[in-house]
Amino acid sequence: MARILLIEDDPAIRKFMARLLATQAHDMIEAGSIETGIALLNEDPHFDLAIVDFWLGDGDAISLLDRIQDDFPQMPVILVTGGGGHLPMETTMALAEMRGVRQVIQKPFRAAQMLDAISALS
Amino acid sequence: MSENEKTSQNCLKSDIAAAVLIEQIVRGTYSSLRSTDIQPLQWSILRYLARTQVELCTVQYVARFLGLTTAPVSRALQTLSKRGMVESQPNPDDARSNLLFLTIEGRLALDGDPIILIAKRLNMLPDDQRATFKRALQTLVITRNEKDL
Repeated sequence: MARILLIEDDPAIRKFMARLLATQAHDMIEAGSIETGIALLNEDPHFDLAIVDFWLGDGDAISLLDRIQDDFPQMPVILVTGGGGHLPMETTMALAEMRGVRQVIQKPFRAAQMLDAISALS
Repeated sequence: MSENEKTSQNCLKSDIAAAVLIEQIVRGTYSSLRSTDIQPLQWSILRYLARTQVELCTVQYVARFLGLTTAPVSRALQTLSKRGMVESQPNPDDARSNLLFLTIEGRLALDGDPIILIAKRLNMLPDDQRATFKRALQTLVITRNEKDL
């Protein structure tokens, strides 16, 4: 069982992830924005893993990834992206991997793909 | 010309010189090995197909990944297909699209991917310089795209 921070602004995906992670008895704490995600990290940074959507309602995830890499370099991050922002996905994936993201998952993704990634990193 | 204008011109000249060096590193690497046969866009497509789950290997998803329309991607794929590096098969989940696969030839081509040579050069930098370079690169990429809006 892992303690996982999910930062995703789409409520439908948060709900899907909550159900998916519950099947594996993972403990998921969710945030719908970068600001909330950073606040949760400040409050209690003891997460085994973070799952971060790149494009969120309050901006891109770069500042969040910087924060995780600077302050919690041991925390693995899975980035989820479906494009749609002002940067091509090739660029966002390169930026994320340059900031230490361990795995990038493109939307749409299969449940098994996400569970495999979590299992490999937590 | 004032001292400030001279300083500004010298800074710009120095930045142009740095840009020339960046271009030389990239151009020099791409002209090495077999990369002269394969254009940068085609390399990006080969890399995408090598790392992506098969259901997302369609012209539409490749174009989404690259931030392009499907027309230039289709042309690049035709070239790669003619060279035997990519093949396509009907998509069982969507009759309107084909699934794209790397052939053995395509996978072998990626062994000579010039991006690896550039990465190896970066990797030779001391840790502090590498970290600084990556931070600067991140700023350059984000700033450029914000100004392009």
